[in-house]
Amino acid sequence: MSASSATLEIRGVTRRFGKNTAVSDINISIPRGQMVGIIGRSGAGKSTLLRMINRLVDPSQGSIFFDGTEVSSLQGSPLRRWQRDCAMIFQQFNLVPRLDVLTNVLLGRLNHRSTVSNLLGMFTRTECAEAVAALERLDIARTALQPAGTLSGGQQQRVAIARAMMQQPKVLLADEPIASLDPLNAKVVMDSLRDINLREGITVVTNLHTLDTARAYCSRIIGMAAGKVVFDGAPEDLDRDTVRTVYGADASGTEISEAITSTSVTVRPKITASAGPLEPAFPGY
Amino acid sequence: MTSATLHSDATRQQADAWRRQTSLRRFYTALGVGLLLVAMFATMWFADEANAGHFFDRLPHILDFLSWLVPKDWNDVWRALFDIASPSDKGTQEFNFPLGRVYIWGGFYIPEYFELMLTTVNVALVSTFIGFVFAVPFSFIAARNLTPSPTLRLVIKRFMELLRAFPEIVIAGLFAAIVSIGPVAAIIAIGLHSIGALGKLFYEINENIDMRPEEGLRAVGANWFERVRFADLPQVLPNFMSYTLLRIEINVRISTIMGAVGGGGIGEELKLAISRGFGAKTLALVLLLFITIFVVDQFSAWLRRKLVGEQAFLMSA
Amino acid sequence: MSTITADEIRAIETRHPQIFQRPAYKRFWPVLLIAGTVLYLGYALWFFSLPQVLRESHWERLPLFLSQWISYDLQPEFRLDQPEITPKYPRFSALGEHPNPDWVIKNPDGTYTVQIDGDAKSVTFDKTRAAITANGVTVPIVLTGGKSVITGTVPDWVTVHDDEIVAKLGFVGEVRVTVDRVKVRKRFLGWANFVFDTRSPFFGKPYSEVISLIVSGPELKPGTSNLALAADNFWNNAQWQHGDVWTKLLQTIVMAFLGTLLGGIVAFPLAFFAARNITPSGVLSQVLKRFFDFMRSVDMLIWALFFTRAFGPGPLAGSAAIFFTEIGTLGKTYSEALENIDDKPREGVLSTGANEILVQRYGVLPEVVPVFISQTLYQWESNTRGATIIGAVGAGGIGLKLWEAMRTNSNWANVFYMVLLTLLVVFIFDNISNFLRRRLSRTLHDYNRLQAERG
Ligand SMILES: Nc1ncnc2c1ncn2[C@@H]1O[C@H](COP(=O)(O)OP(=O)(O)OP(=O)(O)O)[C@@H](O)[C@H]1O
Ligand SMILES: [Mg+2]
Repeated sequence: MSASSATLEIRGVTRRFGKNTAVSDINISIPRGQMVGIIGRSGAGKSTLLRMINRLVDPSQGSIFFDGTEVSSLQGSPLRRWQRDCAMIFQQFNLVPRLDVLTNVLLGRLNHRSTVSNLLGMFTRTECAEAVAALERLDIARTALQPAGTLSGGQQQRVAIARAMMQQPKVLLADEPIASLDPLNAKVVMDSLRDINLREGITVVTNLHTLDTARAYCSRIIGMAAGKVVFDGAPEDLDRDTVRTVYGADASGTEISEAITSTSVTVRPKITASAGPLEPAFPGY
Repeated sequence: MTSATLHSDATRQQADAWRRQTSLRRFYTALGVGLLLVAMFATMWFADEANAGHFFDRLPHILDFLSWLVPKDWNDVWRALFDIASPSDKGTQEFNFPLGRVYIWGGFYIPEYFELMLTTVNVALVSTFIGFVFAVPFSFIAARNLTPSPTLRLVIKRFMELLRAFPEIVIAGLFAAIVSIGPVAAIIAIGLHSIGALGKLFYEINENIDMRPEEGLRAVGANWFERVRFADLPQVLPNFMSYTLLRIEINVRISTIMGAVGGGGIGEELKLAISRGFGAKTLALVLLLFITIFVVDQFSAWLRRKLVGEQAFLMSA
Repeated sequence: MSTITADEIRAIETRHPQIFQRPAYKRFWPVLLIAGTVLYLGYALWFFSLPQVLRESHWERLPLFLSQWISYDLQPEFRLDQPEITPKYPRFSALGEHPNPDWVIKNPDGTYTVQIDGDAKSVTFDKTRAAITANGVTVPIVLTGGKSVITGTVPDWVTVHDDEIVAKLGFVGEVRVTVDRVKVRKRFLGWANFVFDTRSPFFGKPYSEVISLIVSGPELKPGTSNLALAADNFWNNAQWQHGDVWTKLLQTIVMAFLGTLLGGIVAFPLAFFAARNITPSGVLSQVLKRFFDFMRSVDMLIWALFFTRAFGPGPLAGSAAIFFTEIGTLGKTYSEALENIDDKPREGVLSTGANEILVQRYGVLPEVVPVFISQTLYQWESNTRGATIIGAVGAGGIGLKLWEAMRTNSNWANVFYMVLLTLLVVFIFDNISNFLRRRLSRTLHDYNRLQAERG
């Protein structure tokens, strides 16, 4: 597969909920291997955009292409195969709380296998090992047999990432992956996303609420306001004025302080994207 | 409230409004209770009129009626229960205990009443199983948030409502004419009813689940079956099991009654014993039935408490 | 993610023995559960000798019975050994005393034609021959040789017996021909004589005529108005027994209502003594709880049989049976509701120095009464359904009537009529009870909100 072919193309996509237009006429092209951050005020349509890419929501107009196929018109099992290739991570983790962590991670494989063997819950030894490897990389292998609901938020989000990795995706969408996490956990999660992006060359598109996180991790930032793209460029180009157009000055004209939307914590050193996929990313035990 | 505060006009007005409201509510309550009492006495009179024997005529004879229950020899109760020959046996049906023995192997036998009780319990278990097996898939189709097709949902929902409301004895009667009278007809009748009853409870549980896991698996590319199996079933299974246990309790009772109208099992024998006035047999049967139902109830309550905690005892329609 | 090698798998497995070497019972309990269920089902199969029962069952009756729910048939019989052929109808046929249906035709040439489904399915015969027409073919039968004989090929819808030829014409009916008689069964969709039976003077009259008779006709029976006569004829319709059915239905409703209400009235005070947190004596609480268990476990059937014997069959016995069972059920649920109440309001009232009774009245009642009522309504609803069944053992109501109508296997239309009425009643009462409970939970909700607002 050539680098230029696995491009995610969003062409003139619009989504309306009743009279309310959540996303209006968006045109973006994301080449393979980019790490893109989408910023914007609450209600700007960020989640709706990501959910349309994964097809949890259907566009009212326009189309989405990946690798030359129009994914916005898929139905049935080709649709589910696209959803497998396009993993999604949610703000609320969306794990199955009563199932144990290992099973939750294995669920990422559902679309690779036959429905019957899925329903019987028969996962192979290799798949189990791969799931554990993914958990090891995210440093939560020791929780493997706990019910997912009993984990902390940060741990759950890492389980969700491990599940996404099990999908062996080509694109990873993350809808505010760190919005309900404390700064430390937020950093761990963002680091893992970057690690995946660098090591596997997977395209990552993530919604973020914090400007400095977007600056620190993403190579490209898309700013949305009222359903439209108002900024699309490198983090360096995101100056004060563009921030104001993205977030809009509030009624009293107060400036948006970057400190408010900041999550910076400096603890552990950043992981480097080098180790093979099977070595624990955090060899702590 | 002290008299001093009443001097303020506003306070007085408020107090008046409160009193008016209270007395209005009292009036409605009294009216409701009054109507209920009138309805109660009217229906009592109606029930008494329509009955073969009237309450006050029969009341003095209640003791006579109870007296036949008391066996001449209390040991006959045990003998009846375990099919041991009784000295009172004069060849009548009243004391022919050993006749009912169900020989298993050589001289080893199961007493008749235990065999009958087993039939009744098995009818309840098998029909609950039937109900569960059909109610689970139906409930996923009938739940608004999970249904694969709204039309199918409506069809299944109406079908389950019909099964739930349809009088069991009619189904039993219909199948008695097809598969012959006996426990199989009772199983079909109770099983069909259980599908409706459990299905309704189940889909109501399904409609209240957390949809986030479901969405997560949708994003993984899981199909409907896989989503139901992994996102929904783990959430609802404890509640399903709890209601199923409750259903077993109910079905043991219904299957006893079905027995009395020809469905086989202990009900039939009990009806016979009571109508013919066989004191010892009646007591033995009542004792056995009582213990069985008691044990089933307590066991199920214990299991339900383990499954879902105290929530198990919140009744739901 | 690149594929994983066997060495790497082994390395992971040794790193996490707790994941890969889980105890067998943990890994295999679903399998065990399924195996257990399958074993039990196998046992049940044997216990109920299901294969044999199924082999001996008559599934072909099912469509027949079901069709009888919504249809009726007429069976004219024609004797061929009499001087003149005349149709004879069974004594209580739905056509009344002087049947002259337009589908039995006496042809000018002396033959008879009976139209079973127009001319497409019909039989024409005289004393020497008969011809059955159906499915586009006509089957000629010769009756002269002392035997009924088909000349020509026999289609598969005709069966030839030793002395009889049977033609099954599907839902619409059948024809049986022997040497000395022709029997026809013709099936009609609908319920025969649902309003007026054959003895009624209104029988066989079109609705418009009946209405004009009622409104302004001469008195059909001197001394009674036509309206009263029509009502009486309807109520006492011999075939459908509307009066009796409705009375029995009312009895079923009354049984459920009375039994539940009385059970609630008795259980109410007892529950306070049984609730662990309210009772003045722990022993009393235990005794009462066991008493509730006893009343429940003795089972509605036993109570029904006892009371049927004590008071004779009828709704009194049924009400009493439901009453006794409900003391147990409602006592149990009431006392559990009491044990689950929030203690704060009670303590609040207690702290004002109120006596025990007042504490219950103002501290406990407002909290639990809606719950009590809701549970009672739920029981009422389920007893309305249950009363139908216990009726069948003689405890009054529609149950016994249903059971008796079914026993003969011939009265399925009546059964269906009663089933429809029962469904209607269950449906109405479900909705009333649901409505009341929803109102109640709204009241409860408002009450809680008010409490919360007050702080
Ligand atoms: N299922 C839906 N039904 C109706 N309206 C919706 C739905 N989903 C989103 N919307 C509307 O679409 C608009 C965009 O919502 P969206 O969730 O995409 O915003 P967002 O940028 O993700 O906001 P946030 O940062 O708060 O998550 C909002 O006005 C929202 O009310
Ligand atoms: Mg959002």
